[in-house]
Amino acid sequence: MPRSHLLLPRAGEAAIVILLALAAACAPVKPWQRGTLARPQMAVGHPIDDAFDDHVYFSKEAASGGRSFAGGGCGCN
Amino acid sequence: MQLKHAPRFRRGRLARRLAQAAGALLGGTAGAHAAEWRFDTALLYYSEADGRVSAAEPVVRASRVDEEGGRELNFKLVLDSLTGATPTGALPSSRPQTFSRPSGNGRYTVEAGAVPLDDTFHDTRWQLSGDWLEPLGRLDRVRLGLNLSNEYDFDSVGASAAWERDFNQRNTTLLLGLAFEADSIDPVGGVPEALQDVLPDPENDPAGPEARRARLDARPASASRDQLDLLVGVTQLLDPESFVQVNLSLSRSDGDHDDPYKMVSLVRTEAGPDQGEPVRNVYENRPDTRAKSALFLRYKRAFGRDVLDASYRYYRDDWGVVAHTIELRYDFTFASGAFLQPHLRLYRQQAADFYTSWLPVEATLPEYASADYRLGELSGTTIGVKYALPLDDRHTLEFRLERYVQSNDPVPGPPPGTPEGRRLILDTEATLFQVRYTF
Repeated sequence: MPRSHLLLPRAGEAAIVILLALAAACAPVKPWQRGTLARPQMAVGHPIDDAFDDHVYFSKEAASGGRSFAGGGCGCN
Repeated sequence: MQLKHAPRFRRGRLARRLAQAAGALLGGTAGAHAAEWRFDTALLYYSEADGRVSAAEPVVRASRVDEEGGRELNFKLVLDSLTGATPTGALPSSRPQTFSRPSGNGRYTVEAGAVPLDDTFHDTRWQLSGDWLEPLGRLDRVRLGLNLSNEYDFDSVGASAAWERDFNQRNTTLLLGLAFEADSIDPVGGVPEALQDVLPDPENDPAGPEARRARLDARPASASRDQLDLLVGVTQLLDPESFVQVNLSLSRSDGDHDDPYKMVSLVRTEAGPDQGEPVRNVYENRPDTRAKSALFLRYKRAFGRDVLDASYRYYRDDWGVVAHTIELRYDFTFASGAFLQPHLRLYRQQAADFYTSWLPVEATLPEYASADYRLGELSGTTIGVKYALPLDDRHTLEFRLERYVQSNDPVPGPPPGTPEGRRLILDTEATLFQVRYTF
C-alpha cells in the first residue's frame, strides 16, 4: 500500500523553519522576565492528564502521537 | 590501541557519573543540592453508556527532583481494570445471531436487529515506567525512559531516549527523541486465521468437536509487533507570557496489527429474501506495516492569572487515515490560586483505505479488510471541566469531569436491503471522572 509520506515531514520542516525565523524575530525573554512562564499552569504538558487522555483516545481513535511518541504500550488498539 | 581503549574509558566514566547521579538523587547525600521525593496520585474512572466498556485506572507517580541540579527521576505505576461489552465489527441481522466466545468455549446470542457486542471483555493491565533526566552541561539534557506493560493477552516493552538543547538565550528548546516498543500479542483462542470464517458457535459447529479442536490447536499462540518512533520538536518563547511548540512525530510499526477479536460481515447484496442480511463473518486482516506521522502545534498564553492552551494536530498514516484534532483549555484562575478549566476537544478522522462496515458475500474478498469502527469514518467531541485546588506548595487536589461522544458512519453506507432505521454501528458516549492529589 504505497503512499507518499513526504508531505507531512515537509509541512513539519516548514513549521520548524517558520518557528526558528520567529525566534530570530522575537526579542529574547530575559531570565528575570520568566515569572509567569515558570508557573505550573504554564508547563508544556500535564503529567497525569496527558497520559490518561493518550490512553483513552488511543483506544477509541485511529490517530496517535504528535504531542509525544505514538506508541501506546497498550493492546487496546 | 588508543581507539580500542577510549570507548571503554568513556563508558566507565559515564557509568561512574550515572552512578554518582543516582546516588545523589536516590540517597540525597552525595549531591550538593537537596532533592526530595514527590508523589502524584490519581484515579480515573471511565464509563461508556449502554453497558459497554468501563475502566478504573489508579496511577501513582513518584518523582525525585533535584531543583538546582536539574536532575529528575520518575517512576510511574498504572493499574487498569476493564470490563464491559465491545463491538465485534459484525452487522446486526433480522434474526438472532449466536457467536462463539473468542476462546472457542461457550457462546453468546445477540438479539435480532441489535449490533453484536462481545460482553466477555474484561482485562487487567499494569504498566510500570521510569525515566531519568540528566543535564549535560548548562544547555543540554538527556531523558532516558523504560516502559513495561502487561495485560492478559498483551505484553509490551519499550525504551526511549530524548535529547533537549536550549539555545537563543534559552528562548528556544530543540527536542530530538527516539523510542522503540516491542509488543507480544497472545489472543484468547490463539491468533485467528485472517479473512477465514469465524469460529462457529460450539453447539452448531458443522466441523464437529475434533476438527474444531484441531483448528484451534493449529493457531499460533502469539504474534508480535515492533514500533520505532522519532520525535522532533521546537519550543519557542514568544514573550514573557507566551510560547509556541511544534512537534513532528514519525512512527513505523512492523508485525501483526490485527485485532484478533474483530470480524467483518459478508452480506447478501443480490435481490432475494436475505438481501441486506449478514450471511457469514470472517476475521479481519490489516497490513503488516504502518507508518504514522503527526504534526502538533501548541500555543500557550497567560492573560494575567488566566491561561489559554490551544493545540492542533494533523495526523496521517499509510493506511489512509487522516485526522484533525483541536483542543482548547482555558484556566480561570482565582486569587487563591485555584482554577477552573473548561476543556473542548474536537476530533475528526477519515477512514482507513481497507475499512469497510461490511463486504458483499457474492464478491471475492479483498486483501485487507477491517470493520473495526475505530478505523472508520468518525468524529469525536469532548467537553469537560477541571477544578484545581492548590492546598499549599506541594499539595494539590484536582477534579476532572469530561464527556466524550463519538459518532461513526458506516462505510460505504448501509448494504442494499437494510431495513429502514437499523443502526449498523453504535455511537460511543463516555464519561470520564478523575481525581488527582499531589504531595
